[in-house]
Amino acid sequence: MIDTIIQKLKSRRMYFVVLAIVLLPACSAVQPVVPEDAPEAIHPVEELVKDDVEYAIDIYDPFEGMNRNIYIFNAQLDENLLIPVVNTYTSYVPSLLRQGVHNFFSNIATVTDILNSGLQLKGEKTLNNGVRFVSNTTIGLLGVFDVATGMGFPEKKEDFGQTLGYWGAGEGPYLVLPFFGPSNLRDTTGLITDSLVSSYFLDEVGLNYDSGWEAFYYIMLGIDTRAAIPFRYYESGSPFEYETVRLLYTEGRKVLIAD
Amino acid sequence: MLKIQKLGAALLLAAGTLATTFANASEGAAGYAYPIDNAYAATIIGTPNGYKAELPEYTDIPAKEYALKEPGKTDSIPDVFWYEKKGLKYTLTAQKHKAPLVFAIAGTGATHLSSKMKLFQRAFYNAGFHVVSINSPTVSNFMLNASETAIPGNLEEDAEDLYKVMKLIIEQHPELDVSQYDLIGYSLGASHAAFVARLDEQEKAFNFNKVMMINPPLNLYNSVQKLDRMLEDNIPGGMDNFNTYFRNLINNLTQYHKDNPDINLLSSDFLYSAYKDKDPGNYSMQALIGVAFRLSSANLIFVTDVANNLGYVVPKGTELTSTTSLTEYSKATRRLGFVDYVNEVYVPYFNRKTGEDKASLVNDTSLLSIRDYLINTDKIGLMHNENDPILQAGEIDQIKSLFPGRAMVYPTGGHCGNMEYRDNVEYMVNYFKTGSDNTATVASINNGSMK
Repeated sequence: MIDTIIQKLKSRRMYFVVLAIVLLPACSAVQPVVPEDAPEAIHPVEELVKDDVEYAIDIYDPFEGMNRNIYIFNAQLDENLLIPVVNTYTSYVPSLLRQGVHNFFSNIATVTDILNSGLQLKGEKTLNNGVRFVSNTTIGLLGVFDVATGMGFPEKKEDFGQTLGYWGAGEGPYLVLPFFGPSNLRDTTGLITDSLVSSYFLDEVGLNYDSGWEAFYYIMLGIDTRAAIPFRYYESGSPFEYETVRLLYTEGRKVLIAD
Repeated sequence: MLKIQKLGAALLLAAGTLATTFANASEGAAGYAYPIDNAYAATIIGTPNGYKAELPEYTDIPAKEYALKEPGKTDSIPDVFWYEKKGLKYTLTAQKHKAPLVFAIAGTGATHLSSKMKLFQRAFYNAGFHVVSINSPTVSNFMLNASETAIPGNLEEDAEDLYKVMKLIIEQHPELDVSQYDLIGYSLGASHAAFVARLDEQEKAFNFNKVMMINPPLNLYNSVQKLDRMLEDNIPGGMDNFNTYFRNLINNLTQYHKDNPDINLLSSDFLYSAYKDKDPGNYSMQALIGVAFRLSSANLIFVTDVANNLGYVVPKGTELTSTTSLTEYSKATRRLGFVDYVNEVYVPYFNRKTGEDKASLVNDTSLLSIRDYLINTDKIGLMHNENDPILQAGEIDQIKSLFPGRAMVYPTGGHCGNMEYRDNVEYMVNYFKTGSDNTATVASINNGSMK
């Protein structure tokens, strides 16, 4: 398995995740440059923001400069590639077929859901996800049909970031990952781990580079994943969108870890 | 005026801090069955599933986004707003044949893609109209691309900007076959619609057939005062303790999610379910409405400050780039209220421009300033709620008096909370579908009260 992991790390799809971590110390937050001779503002920040008051919006983000650059990169990638592709996908592929594709990928993700529910000692969830995987893979024809939900076994997602959080790991610094978007050191570690487990599983069932299907698999996974997220960059109407996304991501993950 | 659902802030409505018992939603007056009686809860939650009008999904209508570039405008947009340089964004959903066209104007802080604007797109496209959704003049995309001043809130000037934009949009789509023009707006967008309609009486570019105003404030200044106070008066210990209030909400939300793992956190029913099980109490809910409004006003203050180099919170000449951290400015502008903006930015600017004093400028933001027009025109209809929390005591009656025989006022719904409810959607669609005489339609809908 170690060989497989090393090979995966070398492979291109891991490149950007690793790149993000390597680049971490590369740049820090860019602060506003106030001219020396500028008159004091009518309501200076120092008057309104107090040192002894806590602000929810303050989230540990030592690599803010780099994160903001990647945020912009992701926004442009979205605009120029992902959203046009997703739009084409949703206009030409019937929704029933899209649902099947979505179910198929969800079913493969159930493998990590089972592992992570187990690692968090959540018996009922592990059983639920196990039954889901078996019934959807068999009766549901390799996951294309989600028969398990109707049988009373709904999707209960757990990822390795949540597992780390469950066992007490802190978030670490906030990170914006190329392609993947908002994250933090804990969840990035989780993402890499889950990806390795997934690709190990895919290798075992014969879907690997040699099969020729691997690239297709990941392209479709990317399209399906983006299509399922309604978020659009710079449509919030807020100049503080970066801060808002950072807050909602961080708080949202806390809620998910606590369950 | 609020874009609560749109903001993640709505997610923060957690199960309650106060253990008040929830009085089960009783049927409203005259058979009106919108399920949430509490005005604040309705404003935050909107319309729960099962009560919404049956309409095609937004992804199933041919809605397309466009941008409108005014020559010369883009160059003056500061780099920190680089993403707004593509022009004024709007959505058009076009019929393939000749059809009437509805222009829709968003409420304070809301864009053409807000959930209420998508509702208009879905409802009116489904009913055979072309639909054009336009950002509120209070959002940065409009302020930077389409406003003369980037100092919004002057209904007459905002209306001129909107009118110009609407004409340019039609020019951009010569392929559209339009039989007649209609206009709709909610919250502040409703006030804007009234002023646009009035401008059109002179300019005649559209000759609007019908106009509908949904939940407008009577007086913008009175309503923003009320919304400012909803936040500041309801955070225990004052604004310095906001973080404690926020943590409390998050903890309650977490606990509710833990106790009810089968309700999807991101589903629209989560809030309704949490509210029914554990009413957070009016203080907490008012504070949350105040938060949503405060986020919008902070956005507006920052954009107007930087765009006009006012030196209000950001010192004059400060260099901000696409990657500058804005966190400190977000904290600072959120400590100011909309009333501060009015008193310290808006009034001084328009006082210099027109010589009017504050009292007179504040009166200009009231529907009463165009009282004669509203009473005498027969093309403008009103949809409102008796318990809209942005209104001060007695204001709903003053509003009704401006629309003799043209006001549909529902007993519940809070501020725009019932817009997606089936009766409301049916009423607004029928209002535009019937010709100039809508008496027959109104008579067939017994819900609410015709005044």
